[in-house]
Amino acid sequence: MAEIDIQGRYGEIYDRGYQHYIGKRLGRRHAIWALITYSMKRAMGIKKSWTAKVIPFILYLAVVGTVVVVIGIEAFLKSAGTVAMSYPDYFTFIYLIEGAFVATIAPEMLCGDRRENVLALYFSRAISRLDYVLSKLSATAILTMTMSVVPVVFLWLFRQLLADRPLHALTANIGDLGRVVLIGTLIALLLGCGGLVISSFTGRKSIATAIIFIGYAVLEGFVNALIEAVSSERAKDVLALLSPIRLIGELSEKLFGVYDPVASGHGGFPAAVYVAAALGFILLGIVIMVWRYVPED
Amino acid sequence: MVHAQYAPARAGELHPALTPVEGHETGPIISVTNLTKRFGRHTALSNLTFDVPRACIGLLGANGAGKTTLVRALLGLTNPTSGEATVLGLNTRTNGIEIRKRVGYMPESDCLPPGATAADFVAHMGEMSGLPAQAARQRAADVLYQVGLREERYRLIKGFSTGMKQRVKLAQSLVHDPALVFLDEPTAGMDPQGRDDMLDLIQRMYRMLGIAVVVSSHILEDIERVCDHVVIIDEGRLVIDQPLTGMGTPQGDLLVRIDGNPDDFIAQMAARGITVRRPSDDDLQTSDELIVASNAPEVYDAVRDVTAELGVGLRSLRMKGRSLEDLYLGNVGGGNG
Amino acid sequence: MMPTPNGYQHLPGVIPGREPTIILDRVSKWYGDIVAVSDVTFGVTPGVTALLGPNGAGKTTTLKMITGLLSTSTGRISILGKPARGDPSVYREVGLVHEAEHIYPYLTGREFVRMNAILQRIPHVEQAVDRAIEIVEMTYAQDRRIGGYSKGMRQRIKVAAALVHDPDVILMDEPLNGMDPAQRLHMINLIRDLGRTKTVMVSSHILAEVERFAENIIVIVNGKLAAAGDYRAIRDRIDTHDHAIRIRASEPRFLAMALIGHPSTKAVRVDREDRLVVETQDVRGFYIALPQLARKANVRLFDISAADESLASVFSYLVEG
Repeated sequence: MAEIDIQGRYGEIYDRGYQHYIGKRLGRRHAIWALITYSMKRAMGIKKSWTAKVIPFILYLAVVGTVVVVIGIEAFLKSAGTVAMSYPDYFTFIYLIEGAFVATIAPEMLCGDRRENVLALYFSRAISRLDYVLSKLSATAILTMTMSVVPVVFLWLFRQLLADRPLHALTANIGDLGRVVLIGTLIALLLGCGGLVISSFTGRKSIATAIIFIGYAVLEGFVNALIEAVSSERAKDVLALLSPIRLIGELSEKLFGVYDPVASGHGGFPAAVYVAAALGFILLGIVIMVWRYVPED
Repeated sequence: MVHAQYAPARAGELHPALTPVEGHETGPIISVTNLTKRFGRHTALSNLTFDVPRACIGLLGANGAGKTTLVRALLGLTNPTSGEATVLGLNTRTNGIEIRKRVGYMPESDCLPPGATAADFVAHMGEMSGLPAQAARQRAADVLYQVGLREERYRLIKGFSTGMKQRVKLAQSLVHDPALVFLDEPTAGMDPQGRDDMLDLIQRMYRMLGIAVVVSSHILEDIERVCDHVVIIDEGRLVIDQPLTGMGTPQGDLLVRIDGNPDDFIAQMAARGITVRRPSDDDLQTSDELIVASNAPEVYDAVRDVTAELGVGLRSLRMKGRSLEDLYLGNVGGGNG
Repeated sequence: MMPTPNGYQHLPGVIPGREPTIILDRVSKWYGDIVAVSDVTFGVTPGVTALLGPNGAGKTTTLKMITGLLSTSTGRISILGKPARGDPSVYREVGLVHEAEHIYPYLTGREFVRMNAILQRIPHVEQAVDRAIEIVEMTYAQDRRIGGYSKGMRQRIKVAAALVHDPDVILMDEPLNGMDPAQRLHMINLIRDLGRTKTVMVSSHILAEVERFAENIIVIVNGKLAAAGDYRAIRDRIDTHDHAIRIRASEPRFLAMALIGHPSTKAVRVDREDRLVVETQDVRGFYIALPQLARKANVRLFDISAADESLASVFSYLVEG
């Protein structure tokens, strides 16, 4: 409305002060998604200094680079039908990289909020405590799966394209695709969950990172020693389930039919058992996380 | 690009989000009935029943009296052991998330991430309360400006002083334009200028913007300055629930300060049949205010006339009404939190 | 014994004739380019003195130098004749209440106070500990771990530890932090009591409370000494600002007419709550004229208060400069 004064002139002053917000208000789902994206960005070092970005990006590069090199070699030596890196070997490699990745990002996801007591602010928002936990789990899962599933899918894809009859290969080897997606997902979730569980117990990122590294190393070492020590094959089979790298390794060998009982020292379980065990651990991790965050204090 | 949609705030006008919720046309913004909360054997809140009017409310109580538990219950963060509470017409047990969409909270403790910028973090908090991303970003920048931060709002929180951090905490409680905010010790750690600014902001929030405020603070002068109504809790029980303004219940005494020797003044007043005495240690007040026993309005005139006749300066004159401190101490037990 | 202060006729903060307990003589402190404290000279006498100043303006640095935690860049600080830093025996006479949050969470309150008593090598440790804990009313909680104390309780036990050796000088940094109103009142009374026999220096931001226990103030602004002495006397000396006086009367506008006619009144206005707000530069003259003019106009006076005689107003004038 134009403000015309007595002498017929027009002029207005606008209110720059606090304004009420009458626009759209979104619900819980938006808040959850906002938390997931925010957590992912901060874990990857976006909007932070370059030092925070270095490690995650280098690790990504390592994975992508490896896939490129493998494809390159296989393309170059196509006639010889070389497989530069079998899927089981690839997954062993991925496991280590993913481990380092999780050790970097899982503490970023949880430790800061706990230490700086930002949890108090989050819980006063339009989400529940369970929403917070699930968001963090989702954010970690998305990041870790991007590293362990996406590149390997491309690896599979390029291998089919390199075949003599690509279209035929795509359908014939779809089973392999299923296998790599399964293994990649389990690696992502198993390591991610483990990393988050450890991070949920401390507010200090560096300690969480250290414990993740040391924890896994100690676990592997301990289980290996036990496997050497026991003589019963069944015992060895069960113990192998407790060592994540063995679990993944043996699962992938079994799925691709290259499992060698002599080399591993025991017969192992059918693949389904490994999958069940992995899912069991993941579920346990989620339960622990929920226990850490959800009950009121 | 979607801009945050604005409605200018007008003094005295009701906050848009305070307009009727589920048939609650007018009435209290917080309503508590027989609210009890037990943690194991410890009873934090015991049968609280009160209504909070649309105002700026002071929440007082000794350390450990249950204030924090009450606020958490009202935010829907903890369920009552028995009894009910409604905030803005919504039940805290069933509608916690809806409540938190409309309510802001400024905690007492440190709670800001040092590695984020103020604008970024407050925008994120806005999104977490239901604002779309663009709107959150705009409002965050606006609200940070309103609370007094200029270019600093784009810098990392790491370098902020206590005063600046308190302002950021206030901003994040306001970013989603709540209808009600809970402020826990809002002036903690701030220097006198900062405290003044913060108290002004709080007053503005209610008087000019129509946002209901609940201030929890140990500093009674702050509560006296900004609040209209006071609720006092002691050991989980409600002890006081009354407006602040009606508090000057005349205790019948006047406090007078004059320039010069009080003896003449005391004598002249005595000649008119009015007793005046000097303060003793028990009267916890500054040493130069004389206490005039008063039982009739004519005593005011006597004070005026005696000082006029004596030609001395009349520096201050006030009724010794009950202060908030008297009210508090008179009703709160020796609870040592 | 008194050093020659630079350019001052007497030691700021000290009425001539009184012996100061704490003396700062041309004290400065800098960190590289940043000058935190700049050539500050003042003395503190027995009684309660409040150290005030905006955050980041040198007040905390000054207090730390007095407590000996920081060295001065130049200048000297002495407490009861001994240098504040370098001579450990000075701590026998000084009790400190830090602001620091975290103190020995695994000790019980009593153990903490006793530890200080032992460090101070006082005789009759247990009695002194009993007494100190009683003074702060923490006897009921002395055997509980400090980690479980509330903020207010931690403050009180810190005060007990500072009092256990009955020092002549007590320095307190934000002692009322975290205390609820009842505890605050008790601490204010305690500070007043201590001020009767000792030299107490308190740093606090809550001016309305400082007013209740300290009449003497030292104000540090921008690293320099801005004011020293009784804050009411300081107010009278600030002549850049007119005094503002609020009056509630039976017929405010009638009274306003009478007042504006008097030379001591510079301006009169009626505020939102129908009170008169009078601006004057001649406070004394105004206070004398007021009852006389009111009587002549037959207007009843209900309430007279100087809008800016509080410590808070004085402080803000000093800081604005």
